[in-house]
Amino acid sequence: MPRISRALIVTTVVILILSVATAAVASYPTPKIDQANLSFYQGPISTEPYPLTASRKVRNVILCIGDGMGLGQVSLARLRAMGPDGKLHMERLPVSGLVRTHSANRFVTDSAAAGTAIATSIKTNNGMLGLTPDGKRQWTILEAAKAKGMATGLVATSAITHATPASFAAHVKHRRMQIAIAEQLLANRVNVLLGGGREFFLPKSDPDSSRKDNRDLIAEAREAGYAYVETAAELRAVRAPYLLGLFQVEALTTLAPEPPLALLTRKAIGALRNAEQPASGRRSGFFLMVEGSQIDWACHNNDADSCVRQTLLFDQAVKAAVDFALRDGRTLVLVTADHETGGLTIRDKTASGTDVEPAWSSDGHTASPVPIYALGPSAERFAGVYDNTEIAARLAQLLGIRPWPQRVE
Amino acid sequence: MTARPVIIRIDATSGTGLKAGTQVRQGQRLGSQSGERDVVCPVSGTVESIRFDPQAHEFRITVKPQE
Repeated sequence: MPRISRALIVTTVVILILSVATAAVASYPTPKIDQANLSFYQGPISTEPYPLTASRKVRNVILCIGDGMGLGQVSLARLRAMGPDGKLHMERLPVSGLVRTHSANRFVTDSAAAGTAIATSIKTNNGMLGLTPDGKRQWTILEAAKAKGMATGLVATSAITHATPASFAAHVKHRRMQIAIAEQLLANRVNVLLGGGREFFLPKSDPDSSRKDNRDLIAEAREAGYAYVETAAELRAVRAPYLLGLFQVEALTTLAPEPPLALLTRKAIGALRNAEQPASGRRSGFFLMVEGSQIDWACHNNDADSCVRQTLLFDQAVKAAVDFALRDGRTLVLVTADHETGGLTIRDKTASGTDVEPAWSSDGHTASPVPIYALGPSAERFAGVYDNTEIAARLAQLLGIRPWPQRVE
Repeated sequence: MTARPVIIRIDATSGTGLKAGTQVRQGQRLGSQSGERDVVCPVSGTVESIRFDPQAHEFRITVKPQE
């Protein structure tokens, strides 16, 4: 038998054995809440676009990523929450465009490759984080901003070690390597890390741990100067330039008493403002990435109610970013997605009320382009139709980061 | 004796294209892992359930083997 065929058979057999061996693994039930109750959402009073900013000089960047949020997800959330003539906060940003999302090896990207493209301007293979397809480390826009003296932050409703946040501050061969990702996030001295995923920071001796060693990354973070919080009350009280907040063992529940994404965003902005004050008093600026992680998860389940709820929770976080940016005048806010999930469209119906019927064409990701909305100085640079690698390229230009893209030496 | 259901894990990126009740054949490609390695069904039978595992970003497909 030819050697290649034998290798293929061996690989297939190993995969089959591994697959069968997992038969006893527990399932992941969705929280028992009324997903259709949207009373938490405070939509915009006006449908007018937010104003364009006269200044062109960007000091701060807040990049909001709705995981799996295509135009269908935005439309469904808008129709359910605001009706056919309303708008979400993100739709009021004055500049918009469309972003192509394919990865280096697939028409349909995953969050690891898409996050890497958005963060580094380099296309990589699905599953890989912060590396070129041949495994070379590539600088992320967060790391470049940090090297320039800016404060940096990552906020997510998934584990903070999940693919999208990890793509901004970690370099690993596969997104599954969340133990290594946790170590790299702290080693990279990201000022603010807020999300779930405590399991990857706790030592093996802890029953909640998923680590294979006894490193206690929370203790190590404290020793390195991080303030550590686990509850909304602790988060509200804390004031520190380095902040680690892990609110769940795994992903966030996105339910009270957990801090909602909008509060995480506000607190992250506050902490970054503290962190970016050098002795000279001249602000160095900050880079913050905020992810609404669970839009994707709702769409993999073809769960329209949960999709709407997660999109609106994300929109509240966008509002928090916009409120700050409008006050500050030197903050660029970008709202986009890594890819679309579910092939979501809206079925025809009489255009009144908010009773909308979704239609799904898939339970996976799709190659549809995703929206990008922009507000703040030089927002107009993000109009048009372009590739996701262009986002970091344009940011690097605006922040004076050269050359770009950059390989880590 | 009734055969135990089998759970097959595939990366969620490409989706499953399956529904509960779908008949699958032994050797049928169900999806991939890491976008590269094909994952094939180890038995012929009926898809009992499909669950999404967000932490691993995988689908867990439960197949009841044919008697």
